[in-house]
Amino acid sequence: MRLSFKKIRLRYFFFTFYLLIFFTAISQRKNDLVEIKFLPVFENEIVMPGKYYPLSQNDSITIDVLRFYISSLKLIDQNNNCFFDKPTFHLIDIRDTNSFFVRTTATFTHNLEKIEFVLGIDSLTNTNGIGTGDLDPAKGMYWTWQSGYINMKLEANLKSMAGENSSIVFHLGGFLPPFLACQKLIFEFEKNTTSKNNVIVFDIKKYLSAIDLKDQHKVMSPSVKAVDLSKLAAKSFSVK
Amino acid sequence: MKSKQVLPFLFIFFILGTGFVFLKNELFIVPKGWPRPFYNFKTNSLTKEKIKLGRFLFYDPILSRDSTISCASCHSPYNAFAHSDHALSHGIDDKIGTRNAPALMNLAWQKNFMWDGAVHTLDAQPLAPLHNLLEMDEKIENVILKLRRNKKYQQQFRRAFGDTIVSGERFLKSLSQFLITLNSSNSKYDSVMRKEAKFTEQENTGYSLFLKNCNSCHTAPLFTNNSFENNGLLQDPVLNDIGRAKITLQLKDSFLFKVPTLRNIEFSAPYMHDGRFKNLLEVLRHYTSGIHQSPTLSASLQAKINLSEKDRVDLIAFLLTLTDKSFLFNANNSFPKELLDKN
Ligand code: HEC
Ligand code: HEC
Repeated sequence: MRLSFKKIRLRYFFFTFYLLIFFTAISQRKNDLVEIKFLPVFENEIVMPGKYYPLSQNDSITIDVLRFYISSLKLIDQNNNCFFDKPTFHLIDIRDTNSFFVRTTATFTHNLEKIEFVLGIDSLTNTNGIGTGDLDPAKGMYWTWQSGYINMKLEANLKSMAGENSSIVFHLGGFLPPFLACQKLIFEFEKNTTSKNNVIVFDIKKYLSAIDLKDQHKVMSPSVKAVDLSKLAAKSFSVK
Repeated sequence: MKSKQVLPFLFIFFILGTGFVFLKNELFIVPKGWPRPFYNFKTNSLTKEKIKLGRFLFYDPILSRDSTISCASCHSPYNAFAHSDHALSHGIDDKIGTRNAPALMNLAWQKNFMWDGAVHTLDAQPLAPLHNLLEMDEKIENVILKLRRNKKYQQQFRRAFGDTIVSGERFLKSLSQFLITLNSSNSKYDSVMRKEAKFTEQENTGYSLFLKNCNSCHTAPLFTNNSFENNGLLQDPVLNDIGRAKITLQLKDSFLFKVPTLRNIEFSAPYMHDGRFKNLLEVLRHYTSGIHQSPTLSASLQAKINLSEKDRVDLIAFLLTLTDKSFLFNANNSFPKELLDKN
């Protein structure tokens, strides 16, 4: 009786032991592969489609569509290890929270020191024609009346205190000079930072507050306006 | 041990590889003396099954919102894949578009598509008519759903790709496969160039007139120089079409349009981006006495072209030698009868 009890305890011990090893193995694996999060936020909150957000004292806004491409992601860690996933393109979409997590194959043990990426699709990829996966034109990010990818789509509804509605439609793109719209972003961090630096936010409030929405509320083709709006979008990214 | 396992694979790859090269040569031939095509075959290598799938799609009205309009509604094989009875294209709900449907042929050699070059890659071109409210008024996402549910297309996709996954990319590239096999290089003109036939005296005179007055833009063998030019058409005040400038937003491109091929021109009336001319005599009248002077008028049309009554007849006789019956009546390009089969 005593013996068998001991046996059970032993088995139990081995069981938990294996479980522990199993979980540490899994978590280690997870730790090893660097994941970058791209979060579309309104100030400190992740943007929810259709929700009202106060944009200013007078206006509130609902976001219906917010989608943008991230490409040419390049990471450097504090040990000067470099990771580059040039041929992949990631479509970030507020209606698909899974899309916020960009899983790389980088196996860094140190924190990041530098992140580079392109907001949008480069010219070469555009001239190569249509692509696969996130670049499949069925994703709705390819212009239909002309060639080229839309780098960023934003469709929102502005409601003033007085009850007036106006819709905002930005389809930003263009890959031929002089209306080249894709933007390169570079973030560098302190050498001895203790933060992982892998959360990048796009603050839609910051973006829209920088734009005169009365003047520009529909921009849907490659143009000077599209380039300006793309530059402003790039400025609304930051690392948390 | 390992290398032994690899060998059979290498062998299979070798066989497959030579098979593909062979197929490609068979399915797409660059006629002697023609330039290299622009189309990127590397990202879409031709197979019989994919071409067949593309042909189905081209003729199937399932691509439009209410299943009434197919690509062939506006691009009829009997009109060199242009549209004969309408100056401006005729789409869904009897809506009239803003431009004349161009003839489709030798598209692999074409760099820019649409009269203003809005599209630069053939694979993306079908998105335009598909989404145009006046043409097919559909959405690619929806077309894909419709094809996925359709038994006939499940079979076709399996034959072409090995599985039944319908993606936008597969759909578009299959259409391209069919489009780039619409090739015309077998007209009387071609036979003469190959020294297998002779022009009549009249055609010969017409050919000389053509080389002198037209070849700078409608350059042989494709009968286009693949560029944009202003050939002196007076702008239609209703359509207000500024051509290439719509895309580049540059003044210097105002009223420039893509130089169209003249192959099979006998069959692709009406002519010009807005279909304003019903026949070739009207076209020649334009070039001799209708040129509208404007800042962007092409240099080669600045000086007046003089053609006598006889010259015009001769020139038209030459243009008719560009008719390629083996293309126009090619059974491989026509409506696939299986499309009528029940699902
Ligand atoms: C309602 C009529 C209509 C339908 C339907 C239509 N087209 Fe067209 N097509 C046109 C017109 C008009 C143009 C010229 C448009 C322009 O220049 O803006 C054109 C242009 C093209 C071109 C470019 C040719 C060139 O030389 O530049 C291609 C290729 C083409 N169509 C293929 C297709 C395919 C494939 C489909 C079916 C998915 C299709 N079309 C459906 C009217 C139509
Ligand atoms: C400066 C360049 C240029 C020259 C020279 C020129 N063309 Fe054209 N041609 C064009 C352009 C551009 C178009 C299309 C214009 C449009 O639709 O707006 C065109 C259209 C045509 C068309 C209609 C094709 C179609 O599918 O609708 C015909 C036919 C034609 N040209 C015949 C001729 C002949 C014959 C000559 C010589 C007498 C000639 N062209 C000289 C540039 C030129």
